[in-house]
Amino acid sequence: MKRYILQRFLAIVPILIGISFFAFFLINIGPSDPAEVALRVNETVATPEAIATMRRELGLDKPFFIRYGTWLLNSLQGDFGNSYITKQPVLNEMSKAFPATLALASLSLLITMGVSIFFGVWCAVHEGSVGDKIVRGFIFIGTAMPSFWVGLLLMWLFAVKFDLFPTSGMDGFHSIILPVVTLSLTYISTYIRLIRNTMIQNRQENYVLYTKVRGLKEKTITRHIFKNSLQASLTALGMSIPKLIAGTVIVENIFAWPGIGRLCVTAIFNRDFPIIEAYIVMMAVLFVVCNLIMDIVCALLDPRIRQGE
Amino acid sequence: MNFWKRLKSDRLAVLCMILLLGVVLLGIFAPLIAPHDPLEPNIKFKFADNSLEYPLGTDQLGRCVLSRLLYGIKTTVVLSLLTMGATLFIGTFLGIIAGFSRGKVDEAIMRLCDVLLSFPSEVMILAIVGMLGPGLTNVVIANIAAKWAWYTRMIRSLVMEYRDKNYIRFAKVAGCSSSHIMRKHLLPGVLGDVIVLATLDTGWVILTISSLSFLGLGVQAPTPEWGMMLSEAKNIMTTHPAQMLPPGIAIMVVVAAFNFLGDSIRDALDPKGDQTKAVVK
Amino acid sequence: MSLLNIRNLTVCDRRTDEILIKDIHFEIDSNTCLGIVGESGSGKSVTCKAILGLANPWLEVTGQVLFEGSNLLNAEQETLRQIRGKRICMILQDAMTAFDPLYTIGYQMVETLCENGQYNKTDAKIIAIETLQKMYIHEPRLVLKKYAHQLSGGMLQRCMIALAMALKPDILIADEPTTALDAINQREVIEEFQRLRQITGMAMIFISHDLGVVQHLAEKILVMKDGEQVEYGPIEQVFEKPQHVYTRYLLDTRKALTKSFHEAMKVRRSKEC
Repeated sequence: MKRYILQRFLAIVPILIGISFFAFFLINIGPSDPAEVALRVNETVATPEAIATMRRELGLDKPFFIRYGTWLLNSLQGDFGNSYITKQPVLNEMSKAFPATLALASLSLLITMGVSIFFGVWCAVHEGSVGDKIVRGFIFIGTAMPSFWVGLLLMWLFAVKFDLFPTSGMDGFHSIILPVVTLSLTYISTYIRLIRNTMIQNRQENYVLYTKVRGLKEKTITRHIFKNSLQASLTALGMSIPKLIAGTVIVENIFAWPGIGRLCVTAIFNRDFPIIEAYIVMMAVLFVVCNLIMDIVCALLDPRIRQGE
Repeated sequence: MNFWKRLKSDRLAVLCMILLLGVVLLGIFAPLIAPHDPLEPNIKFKFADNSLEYPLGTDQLGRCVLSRLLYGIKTTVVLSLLTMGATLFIGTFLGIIAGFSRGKVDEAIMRLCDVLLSFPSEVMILAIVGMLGPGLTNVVIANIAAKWAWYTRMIRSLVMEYRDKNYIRFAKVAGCSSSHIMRKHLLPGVLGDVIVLATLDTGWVILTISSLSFLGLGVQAPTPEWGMMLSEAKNIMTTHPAQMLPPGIAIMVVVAAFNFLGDSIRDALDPKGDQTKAVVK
Repeated sequence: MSLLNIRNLTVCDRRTDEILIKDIHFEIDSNTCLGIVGESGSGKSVTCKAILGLANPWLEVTGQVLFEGSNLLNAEQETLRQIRGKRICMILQDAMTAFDPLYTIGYQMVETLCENGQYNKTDAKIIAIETLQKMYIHEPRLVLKKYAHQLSGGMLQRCMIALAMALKPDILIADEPTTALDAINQREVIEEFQRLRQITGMAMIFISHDLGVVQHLAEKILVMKDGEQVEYGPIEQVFEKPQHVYTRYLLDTRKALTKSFHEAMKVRRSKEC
């Protein structure tokens, strides 16, 4: 078991390095010259001398790999440079915005999981019933509806028409409701389908036949199927955490929620490369680490792996 | 040939195909069909009601909504299809090379795919748009970059599976060249699964392009595009909420059609419903 | 009146109109054993699943399955559930996948006993241990704590038999219990069944594709081919004077192998005496 964990840890190191390199590479081969952008943003005239000075200032005149090495070392210490716009350390900007995103994503996670599991199990147990068909119809439409449209419709209905919630900003519990609902709805369809299909598939397994042969109650049989299905979909369910965090980009934009998604989009408009860079690296690392944690959790929960060879 | 029979007998699938074909044709012939110029502002007639002249009314600048929808098809739907086509082409090309050559070339391509695949697609798209800047071309490039690795991986594994099957060995023994084998034997087998995935992904690409346009990172005004139209509708939500409906419904219908078609193709390919993998992207 | 009476049992696939088994009929009395023999695909498993009402949902089952006079095919789900396990118990072919891989063997045995009888968890555990001991399983307490993947196929098969024994059903259906096992385990499992019959006196339906195995356990034999019943009668009669060409074919091809099997069983029996 311990060996498995160690193996997995070692495996992600090259991937993390690859990601950091890739992110750095992406940002630095872009067509715009960061020096020029930095000057323009500060409304300085971009004369060749000014650009050259700025390049030296930003350390852009050094060879590629040295720049990568410096950047990597600094990043590992949390120094992602300063924002071109605000001149504040990127880390500060991100830390200010992150709690908002975290709150949004966590609440959405709870709701998404709760609703998905409830309906997923119910539909699997009542496969083919009218209720099942209705839910499947909802899922079908849900996966086709753009999330931003859902957000807009909800906003109009509840904030404008019925004036129940604020349309934007973050103040008080009231304001988180619409963003959370929008974000959750986007993913609920996917996960209901996942759980439902996994459970229906599991029903064909031999051990389910044996539970029926043994004369166990319907509830008990469902419990067996559910536990196995949860096990099978655990990785996918676990990945919902980083997905939700990445998915906040649209929702934060619609509801003017001051999270990192909004920060990133604004940065893209302003060509504020340090922030974009930091966001990409952070999200990619989050995904990889989450994947790793889910693999380990899966292994711990599955007696077949836990007991070892 | 069984596959076509099964697909044709699925009436809803046929309906989707006709619908999508119709939409694409409408988009291509938009200049001939649309009642008005989608870009021409006509402030006098802004927010006009539905009428014979303006079937879906006009927007805040007096532009005909229906015309904008029709012209938007090219930007949203047709462009997505082309994006998908390019992704498929690159993915298939690299996948077959990797699967057939083994050795160092295969190794290199696979490592690259590994790194790209551990990048979540949403983040990759933001990264590329972030690096290249806002704009429709960059959005398209971002979509292709985000998806090609998956197709390469998939096609490579399919190629390796079929490669080892007996009929390929027979063909080799009979003296057929490698490229002939690829064309005549491997591609038809591999094509099925790829088509399913590509159809489902097209819906995803449409959603992505319209999302980015909604955020302002895709098309620039005044180009008609469904996501962009929703973004404009947002600004006048309090006074004219109905403007949100046409583009949203359009996106929903087209994406739903692609999703349904993809599922139907999958069922037609394997009627036993062998969903061994629950795909969550 | 016999314990179980099957008449005109027919199973048809609604989707393809294919008939899986046609007009099967046989009877079981208590303390007798019926052997059902046939190749793979002859419909043996389908027959047993149909008896218990566990045929796949897209199959249509017609005919009569008379258990103590009432037709199980018309019974309510809840009635069927109560009969399964308590009155009619089945042992599956593939022991390795029969148990839920995420729960211990002990948990699953205890839950079966609790839901079928009036036992509480502690009593159920004691009964489970006792029956495992009767199956000559050493250290039953340890076995209860294990998961399915940690035990061999033969051991799991014996756990299933032990569970069946603990439930004390009227009829035990054993679906090819020896097919997935190697030769040594096969012999052990067959001996368990012989012992089971001696101890409990329950009726048995023993399914196999192996004539030699059936010969040691059954009094009556039913031969199936392609979903149809080609031979049915007392075992000595069928073996002496087989009516159907297929039965004759089975007997001839089996004779040589059966001979050596007999020798092995004779040696074993003489060792025990």
